[in-house]
Amino acid sequence: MVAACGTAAAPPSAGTGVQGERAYQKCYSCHALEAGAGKLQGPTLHQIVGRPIAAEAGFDYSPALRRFARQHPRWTPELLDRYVADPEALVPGTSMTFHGISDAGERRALIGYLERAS
Amino acid sequence: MSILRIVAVAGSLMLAGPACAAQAPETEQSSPDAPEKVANTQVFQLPEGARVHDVAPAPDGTIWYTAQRQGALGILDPKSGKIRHVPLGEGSAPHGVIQGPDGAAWITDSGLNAIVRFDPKTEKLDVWKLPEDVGYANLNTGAFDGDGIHWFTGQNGIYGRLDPKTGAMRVFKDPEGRGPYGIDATPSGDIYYVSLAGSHLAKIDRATGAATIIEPPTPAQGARRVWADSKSNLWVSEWNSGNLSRYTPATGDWKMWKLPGEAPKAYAVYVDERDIVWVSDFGANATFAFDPKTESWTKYPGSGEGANVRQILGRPGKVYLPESGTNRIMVVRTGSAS
Repeated sequence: MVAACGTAAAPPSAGTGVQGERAYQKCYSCHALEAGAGKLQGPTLHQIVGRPIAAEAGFDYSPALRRFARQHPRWTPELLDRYVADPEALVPGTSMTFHGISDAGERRALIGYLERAS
Repeated sequence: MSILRIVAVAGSLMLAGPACAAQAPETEQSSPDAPEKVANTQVFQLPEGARVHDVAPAPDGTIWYTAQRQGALGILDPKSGKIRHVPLGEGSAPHGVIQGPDGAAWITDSGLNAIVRFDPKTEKLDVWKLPEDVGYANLNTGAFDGDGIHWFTGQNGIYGRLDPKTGAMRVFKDPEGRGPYGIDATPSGDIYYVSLAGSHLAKIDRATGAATIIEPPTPAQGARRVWADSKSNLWVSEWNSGNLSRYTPATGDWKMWKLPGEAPKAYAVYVDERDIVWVSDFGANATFAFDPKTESWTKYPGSGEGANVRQILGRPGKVYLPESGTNRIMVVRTGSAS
């Protein structure tokens, strides 16, 4: 069956901010919101805010992020904001190739969405 | 599976770039047990912060590359070492680039959520945004079919087609959701793509747009990129399994080879004009050239730690290895053509 697109590729979630949900589409291909979501290229974002950095069991984090985690034990909203803005700038050598979100409001919405949706 | 021999192409690498007034002469490196004279390599350092992702040969002998972090198309002249960037617009983050049948650069721009065409003669940029209701697609890679239609993938779970003559675009959902990544055309003009998260190969019906899924034998293998050889066999780099696999459409047969090393992670695949299969391996920080006839591997180490070659392309006699981790392009001269 051919399904021509008329909606966003990711399923919508009820009760969350539209802007944050839209911003999450930039993470969607590599990161699930559910725990134990299977083999995607990135670790799950389930309860990512406040979670220990580089701590998902069995995930092959880059050496750069492991080094970063030794100095910064948890993903605070502030750290997440800086990482989402420019991953390479905060963690040089990270394997996350995401180009970043430059708009501060969009980042706030995303982090809020991640807090609520996972 | 048999690995008959592994040849390491070691030794010094030359760094060339705009800062170099003159290039050092090329050298040939060959390990003592090399069964044949191996190719030359030359490395070009790119502008700081460019973060090269994909490369493509341009008609005039230069090399196009996507400067993903700077929203630009890079143009490297390997003869002079000169480099320049063509900005693609506010918000651009280009992922893939190929040369179209019209001689233009066709870019899958994930930041703009658009297909971008750069005409090297006029320097004009054309931009085709994805329809609004598709949402963010995380555009990945493109390929032209035998009718001149541009097909593309988006990792958020889509693939699509763009008719360059009319600008008409259609977008389709992958049957299994997120993951569409590498895409290529066979010599007969058919289009196949692979899904990284979906771990499948798919053939597109060019008339209807329907995708028929072809499951590789290895479960959850993480098919990341695909390339066709001269006989229309499809070669797949399997990220999770570390396999290089081959699908033969005429028979439906699969064959797999585990990459050398203890923990291979196969990222990019490309088949050159001699049907030598090039596959990059993040685990070994190297790219391997695989000869299917002898089942032998020739190793090309990355030019630095974490070279991370995410795509491979070339032209007769030359193979281009964009190193996203070192922000360099390695050119391998295979000696098969001028």
